[in-house]
Amino acid sequence: MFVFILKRVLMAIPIMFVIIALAFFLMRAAPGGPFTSERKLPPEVEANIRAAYDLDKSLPEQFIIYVSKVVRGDFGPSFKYKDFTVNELIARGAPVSLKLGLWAMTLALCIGIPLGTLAALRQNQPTDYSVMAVAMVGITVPPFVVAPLLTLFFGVYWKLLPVAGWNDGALPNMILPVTALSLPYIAYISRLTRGGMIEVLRSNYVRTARAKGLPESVVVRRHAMRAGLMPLVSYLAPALAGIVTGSVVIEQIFNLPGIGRYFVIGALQRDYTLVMGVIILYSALIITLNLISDVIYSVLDPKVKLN
Amino acid sequence: MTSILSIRDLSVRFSTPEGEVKAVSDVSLDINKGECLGIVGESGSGKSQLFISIMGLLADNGQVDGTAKFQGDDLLKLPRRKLNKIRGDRMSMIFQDPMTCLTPHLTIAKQLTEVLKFHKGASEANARKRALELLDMVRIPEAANRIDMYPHEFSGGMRQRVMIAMGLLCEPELLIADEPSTALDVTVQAQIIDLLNELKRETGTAIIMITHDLGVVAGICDRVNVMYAGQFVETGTVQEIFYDPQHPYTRGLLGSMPRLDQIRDEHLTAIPGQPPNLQNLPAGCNFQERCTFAFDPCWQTDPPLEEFSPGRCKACFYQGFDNSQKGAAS
Repeated sequence: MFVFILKRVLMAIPIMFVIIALAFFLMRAAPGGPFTSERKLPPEVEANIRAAYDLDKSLPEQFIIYVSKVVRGDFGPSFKYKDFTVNELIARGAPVSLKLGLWAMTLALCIGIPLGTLAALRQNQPTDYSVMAVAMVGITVPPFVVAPLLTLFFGVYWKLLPVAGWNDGALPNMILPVTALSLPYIAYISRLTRGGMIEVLRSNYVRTARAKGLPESVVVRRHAMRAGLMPLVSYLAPALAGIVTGSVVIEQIFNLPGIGRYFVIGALQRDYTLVMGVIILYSALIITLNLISDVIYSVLDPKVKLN
Repeated sequence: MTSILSIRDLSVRFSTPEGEVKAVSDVSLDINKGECLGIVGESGSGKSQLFISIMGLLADNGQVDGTAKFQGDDLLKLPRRKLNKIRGDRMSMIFQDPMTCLTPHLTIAKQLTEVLKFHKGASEANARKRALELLDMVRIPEAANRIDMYPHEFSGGMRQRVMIAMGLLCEPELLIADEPSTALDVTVQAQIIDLLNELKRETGTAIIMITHDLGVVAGICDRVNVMYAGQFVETGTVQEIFYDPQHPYTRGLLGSMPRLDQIRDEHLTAIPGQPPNLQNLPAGCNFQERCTFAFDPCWQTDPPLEEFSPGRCKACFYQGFDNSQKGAAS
């Protein structure tokens, strides 16, 4: 197990390098730059600024400087948020997105798994059809429709919850964004759970478990659930990485200072270092979570041996 | 003797996209304490589905009618909770296909002890002791070391023996064994048959042996019901079925048995043709197309299963079989 993890961590280094290189050169290949949209500066001033950010050097040189900084854990200064380093911006935004994402994922799992299991147990019955219909709506209706509707009803008409704002993550401020964020995940998770469980519930070993006279709840929990949730484990790693690195739409609508907004605003304004910082964070998360999901696999399925 | 299980007019139907399939039609049987009843028939004759249905384990598209009285309780009408008290405890089933019948992510110990904990309220230690005892009984080598392993660490034959041990844990009054020895090599098979014989003698367990292995039937069964296309076509004691078969299908089955004591022919003998499509059964006898004795009435009416001498039933219009001269198996 330890050797396996060590190997995977070592393998992550070249992967990260390739990601950084690709992202770096792709960003630079995009037309425009961090200072092109502003009004024309005197040439000397622009040259000064460019020199301050090392933009006067050749691209390979810039890349080497950037990578050597990243290796030391320094993502550099933001090009747009003056006086802020990227590290500071991430340190501000990441906790917000993380908190939001973890709550949303927890909610999605707590609702999605039971719903999917219920649908599988009542396959092709009204319960199943209604769960799947709701899931279909959850997947197809985008968050930029759901979120404003939630705000409109709970915030504006009924005045039950704040319309927007973070307020240091106070519970009332969290409810609407977490709900809106989790809806599509609830839908996906319940569909995945249903599919996995239907297959397992038809298996011979579940029939054996029933033949033993065990109560259905034990049969489902002890004998069926684990194999039935396998598809979910591989889905969860990228999903979790996606959800905790912030949703632009949700953060924009509810005016939350999360990292998702920085990413998109950064990309639009060619804030090279900020975008790079978020990309590195996101890829590191995905690699870590995939590793964790492989370890979880080996715990869930005794046939999987890590090496 | 009082019968432990009494099945009357049991039918099993499956609705499929292509239409309804009648896997078992109007079958009746009785089995007494300490008796072993063999159910013989080829694949797809409905012998497994008949007993899966009384265990309450039919697939979702299956529908069962009739009655199956287990010591007074009709298994087919019992609510799930009451059925759960019976199955696994007083009545258990050993399934065929041992490779897929054990839960892959639970240890053998867990899968065996949970039965005892649930039905007998046994403690972990006692349940484990009993499980080990059973694993020894079914000749799992080094059971004490193996009990904490997972199913995939066992061979097919050993998994089959685990299944058998599982079925015997609570000393059931009725044991349904669906091809329990198919995955085993001949020596182990003989040991398992001995074990079941012992169980039958000592605890009075009634055994239903579903098989197409006539050697197993001869080794353990007292009575035999021959099944064809979802119906019983002949019933009788083992001696009667082996030495005086009265249904052409039974004769065909016995004739298909390869024998070592005869000069080897070029080919193995087989019953010609295929079993009928259960979705579209012919008018008249189900066996008509493969029967060399078929005559006029066979094409019009399905022969009912009728008693022609005490305890002997057959579903055939033809009367002329005389097995007095030779062993019918030849």
